[in-house]
Amino acid sequence: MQFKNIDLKDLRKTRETYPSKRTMNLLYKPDRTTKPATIALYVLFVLTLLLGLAKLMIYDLWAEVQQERQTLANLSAQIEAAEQELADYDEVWEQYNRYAATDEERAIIDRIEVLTLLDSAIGSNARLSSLSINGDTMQVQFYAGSLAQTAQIVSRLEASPLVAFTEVNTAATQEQTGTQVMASVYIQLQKEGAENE
Amino acid sequence: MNRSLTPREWLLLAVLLVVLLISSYLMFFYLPMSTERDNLRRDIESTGLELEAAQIRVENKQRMERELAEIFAQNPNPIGLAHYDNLQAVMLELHTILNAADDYALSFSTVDSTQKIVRRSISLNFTSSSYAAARQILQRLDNSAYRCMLESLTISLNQSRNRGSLVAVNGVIVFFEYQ
Repeated sequence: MQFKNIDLKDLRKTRETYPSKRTMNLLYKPDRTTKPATIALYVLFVLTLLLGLAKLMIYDLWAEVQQERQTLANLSAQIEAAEQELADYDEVWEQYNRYAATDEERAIIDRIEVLTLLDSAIGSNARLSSLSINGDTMQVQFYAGSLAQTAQIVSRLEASPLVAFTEVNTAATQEQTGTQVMASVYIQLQKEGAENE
Repeated sequence: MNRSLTPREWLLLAVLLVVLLISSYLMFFYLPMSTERDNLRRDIESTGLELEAAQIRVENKQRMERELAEIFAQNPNPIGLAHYDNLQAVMLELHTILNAADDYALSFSTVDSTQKIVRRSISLNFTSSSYAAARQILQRLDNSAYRCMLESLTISLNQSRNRGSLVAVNGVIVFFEYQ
């Protein structure tokens, strides 16, 4: 490193100079609020806000009403179709009432079927004394040749789908009928097919 | 006097405008639309119930049609219910059938004609010379030209052979009529 020797006297001889600049350099910030881009941004913001409000306050409600109208129109169309289908309801109902079995007929166990069952169960070896059918129950009295024959009759009755169960109330011999057994049987009847339910 | 508005006045005007906008929105859009929506919802509810009832009737009709088709498939000429009041024809029919019995007695119950299907209940007692004859009478009653049902039945076989009639039958037969 080299150093230059300066005489202080020489410095005094030089003329003194002062700064002559009369203006200042200031930082300039241009006004952008009126620029088209800024205005566009503001407009976009307001539009977005308006769109949001319009969606919430107008479109949603309008869409809801439109949807309800559509639902009502669909329901009305379905009712109209159903009413068209029901145009001859009264005729069908009248015909049904005339030809279909009444509730009572459906519920009752056919007495003739029960008598046929009893006839086939008793057969020719036993003799019917009395029978009473009321509702779903039947009480039968008959004369059989023996207790074994009575058991056979009861077992034939129980094999029928018309019979739910049987109870032999009495089985006795009488003096005037000799060895014949007079049996009294209670039979609980059921509709055919009810045993599978 | 032509002067520009002060900021305060501008602010008041803006508030007024906002109030005007909100009240216009409420009065001309929100209230009518929400009223219409509520009315539509009420209509939908009542129409839905109406439709449900109609659908039940449709199902009922379809079931009846199915059953009728089955009935007519089994027998092309099924016995329908006679029209109310069919008493004379029923009496004639009973007389024709029970003529085969040794003797008979009929007792007619009061008929309730307020229902669509009228139930004519008749108590009958008859005696017959044999069980087979009694069975035949019961079979003919069951196959009567008019729809009927044997409700209850009691058959007693008389053991005394000295008496004329051996079999006594008591029962209730119900004839159905339609009005």
